Amino acid sequence: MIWKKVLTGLVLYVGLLAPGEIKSQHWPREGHFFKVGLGSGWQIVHDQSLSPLNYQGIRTGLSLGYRWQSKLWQINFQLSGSAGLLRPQTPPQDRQATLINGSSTFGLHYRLFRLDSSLLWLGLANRNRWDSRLHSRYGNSRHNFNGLFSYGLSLHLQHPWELRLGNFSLALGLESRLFLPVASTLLLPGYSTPYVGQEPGTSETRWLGRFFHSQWSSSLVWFLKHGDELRLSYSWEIADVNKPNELILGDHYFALEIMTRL
Amino acid sequence: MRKLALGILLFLLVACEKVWLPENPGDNPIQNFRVLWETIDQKYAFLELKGVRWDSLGKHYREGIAPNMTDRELFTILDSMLLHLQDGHVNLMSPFDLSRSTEWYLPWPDNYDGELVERNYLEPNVQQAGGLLYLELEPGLGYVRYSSFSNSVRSEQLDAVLNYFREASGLIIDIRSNGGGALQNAYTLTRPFLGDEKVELQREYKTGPGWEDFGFRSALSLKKNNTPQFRGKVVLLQNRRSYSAANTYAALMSQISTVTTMGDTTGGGGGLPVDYELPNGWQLRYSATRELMPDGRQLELGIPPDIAVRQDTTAQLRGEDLLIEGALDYLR
Repeated sequence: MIWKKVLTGLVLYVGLLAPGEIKSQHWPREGHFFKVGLGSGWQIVHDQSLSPLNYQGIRTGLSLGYRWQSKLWQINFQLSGSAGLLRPQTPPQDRQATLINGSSTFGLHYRLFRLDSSLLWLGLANRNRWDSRLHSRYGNSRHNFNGLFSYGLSLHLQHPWELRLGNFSLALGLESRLFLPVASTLLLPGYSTPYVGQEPGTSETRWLGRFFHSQWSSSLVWFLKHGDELRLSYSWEIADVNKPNELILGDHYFALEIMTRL
Repeated sequence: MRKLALGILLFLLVACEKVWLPENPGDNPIQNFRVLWETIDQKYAFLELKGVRWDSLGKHYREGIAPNMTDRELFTILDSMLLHLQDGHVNLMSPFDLSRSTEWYLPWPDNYDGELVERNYLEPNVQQAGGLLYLELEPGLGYVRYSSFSNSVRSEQLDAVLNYFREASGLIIDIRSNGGGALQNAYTLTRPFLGDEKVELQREYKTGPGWEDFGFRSALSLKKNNTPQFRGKVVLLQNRRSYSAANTYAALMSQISTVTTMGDTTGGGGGLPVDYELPNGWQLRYSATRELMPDGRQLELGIPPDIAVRQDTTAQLRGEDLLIEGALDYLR
């Protein structure tokens, strides 16, 4: 069921972004870029070590990134931090968990093919995220967390297009990236306590099948002067780990980013 | 076609969470009962040790659960079921009541009268350094009262007390009716008496839902540090209400050759309490780990004294604390 949904989404997504005609003199985007972004998102988490209830809430954060791109190679690096509040999904909602999130992404891509003006990159990527949830009512188990340090394959699509409204036209770009890890090092609460001694209760590396973690992100790019970009980005990240406690994390995040050519 | 694809894609994105996320358990008596029973069944550390027939209890109390019962009726049933655990670290907290067990200390004599000790032993000479009350009861014999491990003891305060008793040949440390608090304070108050010895405890963590699914083990080992060392003999006074961190303190001190424990078996509380919640928001606290002595004895069952002493009514009427008197006799 899950894989059917994922594959359906993937096929539709590729279909949606079918290659088109080169529309912009800004394309392709080669060079060094520095990125800074502000964003806000929605997190929902079901963690049996925290509660039998799903917790959800808004987080707001800052991100910094770097990208280098040549004709055939591309390197991406991004650091993000955010904070927010989560509450139970159902009443009574008189307690909360303070969320602190940190993440980093690294990707090394090779241009797989170019069709018209669209570029498809395939590469290796590493996506790390740490979420700390501090429960307002709990004592010794107040610190709930998940650390996901995942490694795998990444598909990156760059697609230019042009918005036309009557005589007005605007050169835009659409970028999208899908990260599918094959292994992940997990730091999770233990079965009955968050920590074992001073260490996270569960700390191990698992292969795909014993965890699921994926991130899908897209950016609408508005090309500015001097090769800079203004980007409206959206990312959806999901993680599913069933032991020692069931953890399912879904995260939707929107960000406004400025990408400066160095 | 693209619009259709975009529409379906957006639908997938919006609907995606529901594919993975389980439904919230309903806030009704049946689900609240189920979550509490399963949490204790799978995560509580002492069902096997205490010989609790949790399955039978669950079936018995489940019969009293009705979909339309009031919160107070539900609480009464859950409270009754939890009391079978006889564990001071097990609580159910609702907006209108707190479930707590008294079975680990009420059936035993208290052996401690705080007012008597204060009137006849402490005043008017007692001094206080942080959470420590201290005085010299007679030449060369000191007394330290520590009523709660939640009361902080800073290093300079502990140093001041130890320096005050540096010429003493014996010291009484009274942790009767000390209900626990921060374990760190237990470690801090153990170190001055270690000399060249080492004390150890082990903590085992649950790894799965089986009652005896314990896998991880962490060891605590204490050695002396820069704290001034007390070289004389020590008597530790304890009773059934010495619980949790006080119980751990008794377990640590009982391993030191210069320390003699006196009084009654401590109340237990040898598991780290953690919190969880029910679908209706009530908070459940339970023991999630078990602590063991180096010889494998579990701290949950309490630490028996080296010398059993009980307070009696006649002595109490005379204004005497037989445990303090016994300790003084032992140290003279």
